[in-house]
Amino acid sequence: MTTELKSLARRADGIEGRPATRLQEVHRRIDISRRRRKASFAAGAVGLAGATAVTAIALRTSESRLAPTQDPTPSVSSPTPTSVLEVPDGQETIPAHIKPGDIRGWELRGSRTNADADGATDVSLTVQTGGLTDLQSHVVTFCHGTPDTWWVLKLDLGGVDGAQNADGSMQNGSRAPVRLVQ
Amino acid sequence: MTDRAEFDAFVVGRSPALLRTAYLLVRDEATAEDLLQTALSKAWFAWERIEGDPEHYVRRILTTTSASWWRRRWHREQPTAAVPEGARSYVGSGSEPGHDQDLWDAVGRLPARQRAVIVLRYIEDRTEAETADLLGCSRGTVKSQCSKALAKLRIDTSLVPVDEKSAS
Repeated sequence: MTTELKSLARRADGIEGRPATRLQEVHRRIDISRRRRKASFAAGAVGLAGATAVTAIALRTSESRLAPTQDPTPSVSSPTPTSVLEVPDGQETIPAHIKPGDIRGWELRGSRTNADADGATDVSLTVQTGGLTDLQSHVVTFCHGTPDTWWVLKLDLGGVDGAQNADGSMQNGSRAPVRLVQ
Repeated sequence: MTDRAEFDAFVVGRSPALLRTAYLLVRDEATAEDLLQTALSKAWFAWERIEGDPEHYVRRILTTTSASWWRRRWHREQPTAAVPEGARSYVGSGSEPGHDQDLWDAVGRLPARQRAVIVLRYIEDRTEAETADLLGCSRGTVKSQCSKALAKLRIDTSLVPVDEKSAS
């Protein structure tokens, strides 16, 4: 079999192809390939530039989304509070409903529970503040009444007012004595 | 001598030998010329980097390109009822009339890879190492492909002697 196969080599005898135009045709193919390579390189460069631009825009957008947000500035200025809170005897201190950070820019100064139903009893609280010598000075604080009711307590030298609205408007407020300790 | 001049001299000088291999691989003169020109134009882009004999490099492009062409539908041979006009007549050397033609046809029915191994290893009488290098595979692959190709040829019905055909 292998000997017979070797004899097939003679099949290629006399094969000439197109020698007259071969060199010219090879160079023509080379030129075509070179143009195609240039075109594909240019297309690749444009595609790469486009992909880079899209990636840069996407990264910039994601960075702006991940940037830390600034805390809002309190609408009502608060005097510098002290860290001392005097709790009268006989009153129970319970964990605060409002935790630090719930209302940004505000600090938790104290927490009270009114044992009477519907808060019929005045709640007295002594808050020691510093620098409250001016009658215009006041402290505004938020209280959590029921799960659905938030109270705003506005304390000044005349006492404390309660309101259901967090915008500072007073409603159903009963003035309670408050003693400011300097 | 510049690269271009060297390349042109190579094309003119070595094309006839390369065309023989191309013809044995693709079995058609026009396709062989096309294959040779394609291989030469591919070789030009690596001409500066070729170390050693450029003919070996071009011959390797020939074999790999012919195998890849074979996978494409448009390069496959299409059976026809009539012999194309201008087909070369060939007088075989075998004792039986038409036996060489049968063998040639049987080799043509082999898969491209096996046919390339047969062409390089037996028709061009190259060593296993040379054949493996030209095909870009291991010697073990050459051996196995040779074995499979020869087995197919041995059971090809067109090559089985008349006595055996009638006996079976």
